[in-house]
Amino acid sequence: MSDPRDVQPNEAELIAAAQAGQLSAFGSLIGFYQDRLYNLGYRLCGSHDDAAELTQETFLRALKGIGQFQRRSRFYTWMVRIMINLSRDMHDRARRETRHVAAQAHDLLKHSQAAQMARAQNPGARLENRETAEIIQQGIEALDPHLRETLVLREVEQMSYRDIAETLKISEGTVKSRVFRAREALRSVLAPYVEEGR
Amino acid sequence: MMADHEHNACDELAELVSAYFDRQLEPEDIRRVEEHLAGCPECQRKLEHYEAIREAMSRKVSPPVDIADGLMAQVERDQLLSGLDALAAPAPSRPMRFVKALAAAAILVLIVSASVLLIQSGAWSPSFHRGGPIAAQEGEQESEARKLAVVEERVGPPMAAVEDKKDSEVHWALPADGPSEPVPRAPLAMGEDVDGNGPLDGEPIPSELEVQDTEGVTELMRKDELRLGSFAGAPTTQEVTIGIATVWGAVAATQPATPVAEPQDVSPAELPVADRVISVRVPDTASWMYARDHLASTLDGLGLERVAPGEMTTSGPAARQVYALLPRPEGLERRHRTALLVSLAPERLTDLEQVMDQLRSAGAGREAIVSAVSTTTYAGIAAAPSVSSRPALTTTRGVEVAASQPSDEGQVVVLLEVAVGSPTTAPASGPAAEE
Repeated sequence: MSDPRDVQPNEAELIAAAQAGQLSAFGSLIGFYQDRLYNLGYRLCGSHDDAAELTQETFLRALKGIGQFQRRSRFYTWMVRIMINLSRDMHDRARRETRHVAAQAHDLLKHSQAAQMARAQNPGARLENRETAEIIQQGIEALDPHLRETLVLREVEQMSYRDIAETLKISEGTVKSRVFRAREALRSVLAPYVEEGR
Repeated sequence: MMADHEHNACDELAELVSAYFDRQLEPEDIRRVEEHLAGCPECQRKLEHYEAIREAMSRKVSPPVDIADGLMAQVERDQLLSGLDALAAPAPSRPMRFVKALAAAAILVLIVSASVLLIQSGAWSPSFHRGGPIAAQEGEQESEARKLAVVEERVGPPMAAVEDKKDSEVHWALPADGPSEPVPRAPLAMGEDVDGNGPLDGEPIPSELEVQDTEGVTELMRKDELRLGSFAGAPTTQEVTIGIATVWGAVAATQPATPVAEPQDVSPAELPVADRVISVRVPDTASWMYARDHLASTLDGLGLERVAPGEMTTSGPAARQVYALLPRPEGLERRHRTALLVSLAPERLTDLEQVMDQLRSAGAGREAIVSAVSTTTYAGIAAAPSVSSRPALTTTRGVEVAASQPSDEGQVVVLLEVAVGSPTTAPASGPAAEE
């Protein structure tokens, strides 16, 4: 699914069928959006394992709630909202149980220091795109969850500020502010790696 | 070095630059930002960073497995689990419609899970095993038996209740005494009251095999009745019996001693019969689901292909007639019966032994036992006019299953039956009781 705005052609019919209890219709619905939702989940939580769990749980919640789906928003957007809520829970759980943000921040700091040292040793070096992506992904994971989900909806889902606002139930001004702050946070992580190459 | 006022402008426009990058600004703000950008290398670099971030985040990752597909299979499985859970619950006052739906779920076959195998009737003579702690958990067992009996009272015979009978019209008695020694018996004649649940409403052996939608199944799928979950009851023990019978297919090819006549020339009553029913005891209220799931995973592990898993139901008159072709599982007084169609190549028939062994060992690992084994093979059903003349089965969702000409393609289509009920075979003494 290359275009994130893709909508399943017969979505309305499938939703109606799913709401009438047809499991196969629901299966078709989620099958169509699976890759896209998984990709979103990966950006929200940062690991394939968590993304798979998040995706599956999102499907399950959607299945349980399909009867209440009012079609005020698109089905996919509705699932995105579910996933966002689940990712918050997951983040809270992870923070309680294992690694918390401070630890991640510490890692990022070490990354940053290592990058600066590397730069000092090899001033002309530029990061490969892949490395850049990894650094940014780590930065995303270390972001405040609200900043992260807002930026992810913008960059991964390519949602407009208005759609993000609607999805997250916040104002467009808050969306604008969060996107900006998230970018600046990531820039601060990325800067040590990219300055010399420019 | 940037002048202070330029820095101030950068700070002031910072959010706008970000929104400009997103093309989320009004025209007048766009002009402001572009004017600023034209003279501010710092903010231009910022945009480059934003672009790098976007590029990194735009890289797609894909799920390593088909999550949706796996989930839907699990959901269908859970539906049945929850259906049986509700059935087993002590006298819940559920809406009638739900009860009926659950009845459908109970008999709906292992729709869900498994797959199977089959049999070389010549190689297998009926045999019986018993052992294991049959009596060790007699109290629990009895409790479970009563629960199951209650279930069946409410549901009725697996095939008949859903369509034909009201709950109150179905009455079965619990075994008055404890389980008795299993007694091998000859396979039932076709058309006989094979499951002891009644004479199949007096219906004759099928003239056609056709599985279609039923009210109960339809209702099962209603969203308000869609329940997820599994058994929540206290651990108990119950008997699980899995009988396997070939419904049709190329089995005959592996049984040269059994001539297969032209379809129109063979009636079900003439089909060869062998018997094999495995009974496994597992300390779990969801034991039969466990056995079923285990069997399913085992078969999956063997790479046996399922025929449209989850798309087959055995409810309805035609399915009832199919059941009439199945043998009565030994050692069970009352049971739920479900079935599943699977397809496999004839050479995979030998995997049956492996599957059964694994099932037994898995049961043993759970302190379960294999208390009885018999095998029934209706290898020739493929040749029965009632079956072979049908190009496919029509399921509740209008999906055709078993439509591939199994005989021609060398595929064997097998009906797996799982029956659950209260055991009648546990001896009062002996090895089983001592354990």
